[in-house]
Amino acid sequence: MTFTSIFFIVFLLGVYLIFRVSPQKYRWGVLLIASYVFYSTLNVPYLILAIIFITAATFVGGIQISKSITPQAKLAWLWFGITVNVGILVSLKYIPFILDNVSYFTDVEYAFGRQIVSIGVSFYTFQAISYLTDIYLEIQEPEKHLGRFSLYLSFFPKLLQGPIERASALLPQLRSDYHFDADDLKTGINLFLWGLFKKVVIADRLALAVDAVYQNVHDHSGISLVLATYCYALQIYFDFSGYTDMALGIARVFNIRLTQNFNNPYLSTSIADFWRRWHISFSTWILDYIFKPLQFEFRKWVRWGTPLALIITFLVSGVWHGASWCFIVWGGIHGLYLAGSAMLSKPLSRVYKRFRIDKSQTFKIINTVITFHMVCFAWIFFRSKTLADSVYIVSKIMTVFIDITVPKLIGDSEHILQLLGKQKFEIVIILLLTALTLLIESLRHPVEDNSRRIGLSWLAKMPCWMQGTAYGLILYFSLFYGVSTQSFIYFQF
Amino acid sequence: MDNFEKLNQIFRMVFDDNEITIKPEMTANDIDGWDSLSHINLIVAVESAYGIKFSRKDVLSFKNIGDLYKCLESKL
Repeated sequence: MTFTSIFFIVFLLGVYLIFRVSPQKYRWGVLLIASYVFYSTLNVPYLILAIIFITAATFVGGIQISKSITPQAKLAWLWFGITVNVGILVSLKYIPFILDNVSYFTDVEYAFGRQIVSIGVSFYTFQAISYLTDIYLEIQEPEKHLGRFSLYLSFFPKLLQGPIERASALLPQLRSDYHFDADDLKTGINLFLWGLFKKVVIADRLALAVDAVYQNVHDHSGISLVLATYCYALQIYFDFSGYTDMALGIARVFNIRLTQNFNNPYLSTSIADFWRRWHISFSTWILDYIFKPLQFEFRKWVRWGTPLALIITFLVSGVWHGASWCFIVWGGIHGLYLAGSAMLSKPLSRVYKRFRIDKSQTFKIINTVITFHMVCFAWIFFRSKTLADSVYIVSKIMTVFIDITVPKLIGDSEHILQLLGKQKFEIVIILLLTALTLLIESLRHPVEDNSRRIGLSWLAKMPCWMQGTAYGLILYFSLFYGVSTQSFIYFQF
Repeated sequence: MDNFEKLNQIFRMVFDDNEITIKPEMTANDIDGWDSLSHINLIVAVESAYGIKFSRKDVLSFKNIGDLYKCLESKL
């Protein structure tokens, strides 16, 4: 059951009604049962066992860390919790990858493991690890109520794809009483519709073009590969941020504010800036729980410590996204980008200051364009089916720039137009809608002011007829231009 | 010069800004150039100026300058 299915809308309505008529003290129970029912519609019984086991181990671990007196005992309980979480994550997510690599070297085929599904596990195990670590660091009190704690890990809007919520942000909200708030309800529906539009109208339309090229990269010219890569950059943003908006919207209906995951990432002026704006709940997680401890350990290597910590952190980020060499290389590329900029940032900023370009708008725009292309380059590896495909795409794209001639460009463009055939008009509409949506997104309030960053909130200030027309158009496009066959990209992580 | 004043001097040196005046409730958001990458330079500078060693747990649990200062004083 995905957020974009009619079945989910009916489910959500049912949960909301039961939630509203239930007494205050049982409302957490309604949301918890709804979350487990939601998870069980995936029809993977061992996933329910996995979440129950992780919940129990993390709940006990948290209380024991706090109760233990000696530092050694606290540390031992922390490692117990982390081992259980990482153990389950690795067993569910990486067995096929490990077996594939073992088969490659031993020539023995393993059929076992290919069918394993791990949807959601990487998100709630990361949440559990942050909970345990924060208790160990004494910046978080353990939750004593098992039901509320289970809900903290399994709350259905964020169960499958995040945001990865910190205990300090979500637990207090789960403890407080629900009071009907018309603004929250309206904002929730706004966000849900906006996310639905981004997902089914834009991301899934773009996916058709991207898939056509990336399924058979050898049949395509360098220019189509470049265009498909740009389209993928847009697709993954609209897919994941669309999902996040829907998740935030659903939670908001129950008066719960989840963390915002995106802040116009393609307007970033550097790769570090990109990671402050892209999948924010994940990037702050790897920053706090992987990068900072590593950077601290490596501080004795002065100049090399931080770059090395960055490379390792982003390799882990690649592995987290999936058990494949493509993701590992994608993570490695981002690690190298950041390590390079950490080493060069001081000398470069001196040069920029000297030439007084550090505050120039043109320089900012140039940096934004360069950063976008660096991100797109890494997306090639993220999207490709195999590492061999990525290498082929990169080499083919290089030839476009090296061997560029006017007749060739005309030939390539004609080839693309031929491929598009009758869909030309549709492509123009989708590109216009994409541009318009990006513009609306960039006009939204910055992420720091989370209370005001609420999807279509700007619409609420418009006259009634304008609001009606906007909602009508969004619904019209979602129903008639939507493609409902695509699942969310981040489900696989 | 008391220890807090000395800590202020370290901040000025690490973040290359003589205008910095620290307060216990200040965080990385209040000081230009203090981000997750440069944070470690501050930690190393404090460790060498006072001849102390922070533990990983100490460093990860600092929420503001006040926490850093309290931990520092406890080690002197």
